[in-house]
Amino acid sequence: MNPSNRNRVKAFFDWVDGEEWCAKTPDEVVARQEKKPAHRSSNDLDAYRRFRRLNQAVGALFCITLAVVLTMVVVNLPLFGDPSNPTNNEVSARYIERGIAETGSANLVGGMILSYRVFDTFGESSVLFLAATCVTILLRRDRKNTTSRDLRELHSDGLADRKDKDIVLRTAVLLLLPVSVMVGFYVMLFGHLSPGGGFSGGSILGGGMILYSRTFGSDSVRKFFNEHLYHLVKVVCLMCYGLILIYYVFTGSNGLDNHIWLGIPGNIISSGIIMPINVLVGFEVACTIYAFYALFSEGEM
Amino acid sequence: MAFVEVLLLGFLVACALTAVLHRSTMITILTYMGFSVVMSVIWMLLQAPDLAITEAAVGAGVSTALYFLTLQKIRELKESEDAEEERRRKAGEEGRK
Repeated sequence: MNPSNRNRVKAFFDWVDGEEWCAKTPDEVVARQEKKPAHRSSNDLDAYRRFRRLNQAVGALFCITLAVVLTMVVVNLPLFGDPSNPTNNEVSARYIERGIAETGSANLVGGMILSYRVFDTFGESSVLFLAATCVTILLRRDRKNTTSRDLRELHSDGLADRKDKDIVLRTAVLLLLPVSVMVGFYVMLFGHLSPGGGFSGGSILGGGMILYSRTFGSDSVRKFFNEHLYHLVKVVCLMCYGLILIYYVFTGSNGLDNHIWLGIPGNIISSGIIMPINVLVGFEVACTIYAFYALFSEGEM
Repeated sequence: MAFVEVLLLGFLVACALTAVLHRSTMITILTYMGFSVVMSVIWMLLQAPDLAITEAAVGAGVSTALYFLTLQKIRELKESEDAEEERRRKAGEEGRK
């Protein structure tokens, strides 16, 4: 690598780290930062006041217009549960008449979003994945971007490795935690039979993990769930979902026979791809929700 | 049943107004959590139990926890405590003078 290229690479990394990449030397950077803002005259102040008054007036007008429009829309909505509503068309009729036979899922809503519209749901899972990645990029703390002052602040705020001594909280969490974990797994595994599914079950599970971490310290969560496992679960779940989806779409769109066994609707092992996808989505959501909490509070998992 | 629905919807409006208009951020978050809980009951009455589960778990549980963490991070919760400590320290200094 020749020197000019190396300079360019360094400039790029500086730019990623938020430096003034266009400045050539460190002196120039300092000079740029030390430039004082221009002196404000009273003329500027008047202009600012005028702008602020205008801003308030426009804001009020906008709010009132929006309120009127929304109220008119609500007044003109069709009645709830009216059979002549535009939503009661041939699509929902098809779902209701042939949904159970075609998807094998006793929970029609679950069958709909994970069989007929599984592509949509894959997009939603990808959005969640992207959101978790962005939060990790923005909030993750490591040796590069942490000073001792940050660590001190974290400890003085009571955010780092917090253990609650409160006996009421500890007992309540000990009583609540098994129930919440069990309900989470139940909602996840029975998503094709009863209301719920991957997302709801995963968020209940993630909520249980947040409770546990808050009460007994993040060290006790780290015993069974660390950052490595988080990345593994996050990527593997989404990838398996994608592979199942590719198989499903490929066989369907090419008119091949669908070899996924649907089973008897109502049994636990039934409904083809819906149950595995529910479980995968559930793990992904639980991981993401706990990761949000851990990154918000400590900046690490 | 209609009475219960009207009661819940009225509570929803009250929660929403309180959440927007109240001065204290902590009470805003708590009323917002109440909003989510009532909303999940209403989903249940509208025969959408899966939405009710999700609303209760995400709206009332996880998002409230994240809001509280943020408040703690920007030291909104400890404000009164800090002010009290400051006052006590100043009083001690004046007493020494």
